[in-house]
Amino acid sequence: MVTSRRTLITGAVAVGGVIALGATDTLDDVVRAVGVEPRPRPRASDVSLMRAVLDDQQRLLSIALGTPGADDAVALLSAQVTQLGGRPTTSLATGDLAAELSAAAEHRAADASGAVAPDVAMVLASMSAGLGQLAERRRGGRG
Amino acid sequence: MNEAQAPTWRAWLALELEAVWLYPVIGARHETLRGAAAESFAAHRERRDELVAVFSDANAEPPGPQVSYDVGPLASAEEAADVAQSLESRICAAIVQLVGLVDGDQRAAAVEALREAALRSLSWGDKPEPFPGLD
Repeated sequence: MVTSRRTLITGAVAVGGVIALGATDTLDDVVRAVGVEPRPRPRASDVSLMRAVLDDQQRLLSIALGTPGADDAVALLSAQVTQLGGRPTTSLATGDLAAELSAAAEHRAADASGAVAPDVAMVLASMSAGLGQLAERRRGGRG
Repeated sequence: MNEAQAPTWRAWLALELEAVWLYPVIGARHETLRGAAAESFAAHRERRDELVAVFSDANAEPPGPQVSYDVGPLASAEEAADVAQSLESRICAAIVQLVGLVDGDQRAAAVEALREAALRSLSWGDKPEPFPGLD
């Protein structure tokens, strides 16, 4: 079974939505009071984690935009940012894109291990795998 | 491994068993793919053994291999590579599910396995994806 990332992300992860909902249980108490079982809400640590992830992904995207011939990286990183609820940056930066992608893949893997919500962990793990693929391709390996 | 996790562990191990069956067949039929098939076979055999150990540690019965798998004729190298890509993608999808069910060392190991499967998919001609294992 393949899980829809849209289901995961719109349900629990998209940073805009996560921040708008807030990380407290206040809303849960409100909806319980009117007899409705609340949907699980992101923990505060996941909210701050996803904010940091989105910032880092935007930084990576800036480097990709500033790297000639990195259209594949721009497309993939833009897709990740969009799915996280962000608007892909248009600013350019310089850097070693392959090295930055490798480092980000490691960081997303560690982020996945530290996430509280299962949905957040799944999305971050998948992002790590995608960044790893992109890093490998940029290095000229595999495929 | 608890009851809720067991089906997902089983699904992953079943796919690893399929991979252990598939790659020797690819290597036997297509000389140009023999090296890549041998490399993939070795990785999946190791993973299979690790997963069987997880079942053993949990006193649970692991799924066994099928006699054969319906992978089509594998008539050309391109077709064989497509089948390999498809299998690695299904493995990614199974592992992502497990990531959401386990924590601690098991989650870290699952994330690492997911990354390796995604790279292996790339080695069989797949393109980088934003979210491997999630559609």
